[in-house]
Amino acid sequence: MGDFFKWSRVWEYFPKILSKFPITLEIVLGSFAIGLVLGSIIALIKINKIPVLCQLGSIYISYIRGTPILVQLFIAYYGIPVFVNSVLHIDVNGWDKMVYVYMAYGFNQAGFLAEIIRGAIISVDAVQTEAGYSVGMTGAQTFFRIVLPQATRIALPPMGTTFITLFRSTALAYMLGIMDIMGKAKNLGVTTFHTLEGYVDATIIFVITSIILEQIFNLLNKRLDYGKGRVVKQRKEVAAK
Amino acid sequence: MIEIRDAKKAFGKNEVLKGVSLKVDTGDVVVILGPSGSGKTTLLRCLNFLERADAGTLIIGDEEVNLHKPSRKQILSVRRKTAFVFQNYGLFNNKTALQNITEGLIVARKVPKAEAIKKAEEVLEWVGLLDKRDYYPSQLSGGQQQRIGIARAVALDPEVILFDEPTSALDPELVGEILEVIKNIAKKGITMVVVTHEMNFAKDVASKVIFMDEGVVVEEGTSDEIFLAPKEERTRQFLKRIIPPEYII
Ligand SMILES: Nc1ncnc2c1ncn2[C@@H]1O[C@H](COP(=O)(O)OP(=O)(O)OP(=O)(O)O)[C@@H](O)[C@H]1O
Ligand SMILES: [Mg+2]
Repeated sequence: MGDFFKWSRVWEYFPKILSKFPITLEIVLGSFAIGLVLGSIIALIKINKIPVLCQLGSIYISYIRGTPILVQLFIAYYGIPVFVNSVLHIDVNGWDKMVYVYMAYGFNQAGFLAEIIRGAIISVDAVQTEAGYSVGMTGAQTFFRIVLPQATRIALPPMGTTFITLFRSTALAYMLGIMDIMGKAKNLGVTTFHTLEGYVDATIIFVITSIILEQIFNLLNKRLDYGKGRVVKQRKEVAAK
Repeated sequence: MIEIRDAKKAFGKNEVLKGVSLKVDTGDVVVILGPSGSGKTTLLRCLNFLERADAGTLIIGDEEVNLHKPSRKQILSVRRKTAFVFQNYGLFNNKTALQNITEGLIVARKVPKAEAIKKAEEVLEWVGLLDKRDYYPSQLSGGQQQRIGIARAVALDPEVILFDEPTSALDPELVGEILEVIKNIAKKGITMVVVTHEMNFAKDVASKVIFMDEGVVVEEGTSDEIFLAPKEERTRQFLKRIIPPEYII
């Protein structure tokens, strides 16, 4: 039992596990990008109530929200090759495992981001659009210059939360044999028979990164406030007096 | 000159405009009065296609447009010949006071940026808010926001400015200053259609007063004609309700 856990091993494994941080980051950024694009498309479909696609979007969102990410990972890993092979007749033998990881997490993010984006866009007051029209802007100009910036502002906090959740949920990608932070921690455990130290390192990395991400999102939130922060500050100053 | 012929609009079974015709000459200040729900806002909104009429014709300048079936080009063209002042200001929340004014000039009317900024500073100065040029709407009072809303409309240099109850969302003590700003526009000879409940304002500046009720124009005339010698019983009833007795001469 005495040799079960040693801080020296935590120290020794740390750089090895940290060296896989870029893989985790890649998964997070890649999936988030996919989720953002796909999620925006689903959101626009739902806002414009495009028949059939709109219902499919809702079913898709229920699937994503209602099933564990682990199930989605396995479905992507075993299901997509079957689908691509038999329906699209494309050979998937050479595909990297990472492709399935991106798809699983990217599709997962799309489901959550679609709802956030949709909610944010429809919560922008209709008068904002009407004002854009009234000064002679086209629908696209009004959307991209007036509505979208305000929607982005509204979507930012919940997007930050999903992003951090995504970062944490990537810890399951090792199930498909990906050598990311968790993959390396597990791998060190198997090869050295000292399991706990690697997970302690992983914990440290996850906690610190989450805190940093939160700070980044807080900062973004403050910068993009269209003057609201200043008003709050002024009011606080007045209150202090 | 602007002319509306037989504008009709229903929301479901609720017929809100039952054939409204209206003529506004260049330089006119037309004030539209009428009880709540009579269709005043709907009429203004149909004019720049924020609402789609069921029937009717709009003539603006040398352009004739079907109010029910305009082409996309016509919609843009009409919107670029008009400006709208909203009851709740309608400022772009993500833009500063200055940007609120330049946005339509630069994006919709393709005015060069430097020129647009110069124009915006000019109108901000005119409404006394040049020092607030970099403030966002959330940092401005209601009265200040509405002054910027009006400045934005004026800067667009439209053929007509449509006002939908520009003072009714304001605290009573701010109403006067906004009406003062609108009076000054009238002095510039800019054509305006103003929906308002401010009777004194109507008396002072209207070159034509229109009384609407239940989706039709009941009576129209100069402010003297409408306020001093209304012909229609409905107009008399309305004025009696809205003007305190001591004002009736
Ligand atoms: N988008 C809409 N959908 C359904 N009904 C509407 C809509 N907009 C207006 N109405 C109805 O049309 C009628 C006229 O409304 P409108 O806003 O034009 O009146 P108004 O004369 O401007 O009244 P107020 O003085 O209260 O502003 C009302 O009965 C209103 O309920
Ligand atoms: Mg109204």
